Amino acid sequence: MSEYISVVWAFLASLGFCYIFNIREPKKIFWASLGGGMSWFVYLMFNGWFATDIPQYFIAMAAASLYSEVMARVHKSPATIYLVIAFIPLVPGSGAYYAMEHAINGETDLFLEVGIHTLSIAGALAMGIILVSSLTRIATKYSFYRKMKKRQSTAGGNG
Amino acid sequence: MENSMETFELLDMTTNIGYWMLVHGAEIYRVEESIQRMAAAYGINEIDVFAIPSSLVVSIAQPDGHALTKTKRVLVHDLDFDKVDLLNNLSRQVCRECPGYQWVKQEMQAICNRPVYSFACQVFHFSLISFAFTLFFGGNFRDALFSIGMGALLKLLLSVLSRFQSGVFFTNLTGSFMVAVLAVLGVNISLADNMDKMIIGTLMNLVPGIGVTNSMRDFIAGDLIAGMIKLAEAILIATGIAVGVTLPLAYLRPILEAML
Repeated sequence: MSEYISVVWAFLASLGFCYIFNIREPKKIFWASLGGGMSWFVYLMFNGWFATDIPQYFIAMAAASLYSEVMARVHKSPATIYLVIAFIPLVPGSGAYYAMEHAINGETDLFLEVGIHTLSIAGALAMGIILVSSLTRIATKYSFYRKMKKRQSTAGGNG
Repeated sequence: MENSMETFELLDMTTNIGYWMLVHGAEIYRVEESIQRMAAAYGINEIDVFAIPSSLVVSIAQPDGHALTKTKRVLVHDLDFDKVDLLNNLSRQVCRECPGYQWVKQEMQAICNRPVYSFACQVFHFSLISFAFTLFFGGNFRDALFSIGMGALLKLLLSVLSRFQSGVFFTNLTGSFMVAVLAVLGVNISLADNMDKMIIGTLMNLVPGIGVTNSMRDFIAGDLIAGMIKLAEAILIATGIAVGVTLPLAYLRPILEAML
């Protein structure tokens, strides 16, 4: 249970980034920071389900993208705002650091291991964004198309 | 409100809204689609928009065959989600209501004059981010308190460097160099315990998270050039951070450890 305290730190860090990126409405600041906490919570929730943590990052990123798309619809603002903030706790900063430290110490095998793991996490995060954003794009285009068709048919019926 | 607008006014209005969206960090497809929809709302369908993070070209072909083109070069990027949000809403409103040129110009001016958080506030939040991320990555409270100071100094350094308009590579290299030097010193005079957690936690301030997210969204939307540019910038920043951290860790740490 004690590992879940890091959700609070993720929330606080996301809150800081809201101010760096100049989000001004308190309502949006709160929901964007909550996205950061939420994405890390989802990551922790799937601890131990898989052999590596790469699927965990994928699921957490997909959840964060979904959250940001929902928030964008609710608050009528671009999804990027919520996505960027929710993405922050998932950035593999520690992997990149330890890979570099191994490189300095001349431990090539460890450097390659940690480096490739970090790159895989980055790939999983990218796939998470791509999956959800592509699906929402298709859904938006589909609903727009249907609305247009409906409007045409009702206009035709009246005329 | 009146529904007519001279073509040159329409061109000026749409290009300016798109330009400010680009400057404040909107995605490419949002800029292009907004401009096209605004023009369509005023009955102009033959409009071509080409946007990449560093340039914006808008061209309108008039019915008599004359073409009007406006180009904007985007030299600075100033991330500001508040303004992206409001400009996005303004462009939607323009599409719905087709207001006059002067009204839109005033609204744009009002949005551009919106305040940003004060410098002290930004320093505070850099410290907050360093504090929270040091604990997040497993440091103890002593490390986190030391990180608060490093975060504040990092923001001061970045603001000094931004005055000289040094590029992203040099800025991030210097910033991460300073953080690593401070962390190595702090651990060796035993003000803090975990050097690695402090460095990672503080450098999360510099990590190009927005560059990577926006480049992915550009790739999905089919704007491959824009995605490549943003990805290249993110890689450049990451390289700068790595090089900046490497130097103190590889050379300063052994010397200090031998001395103390």
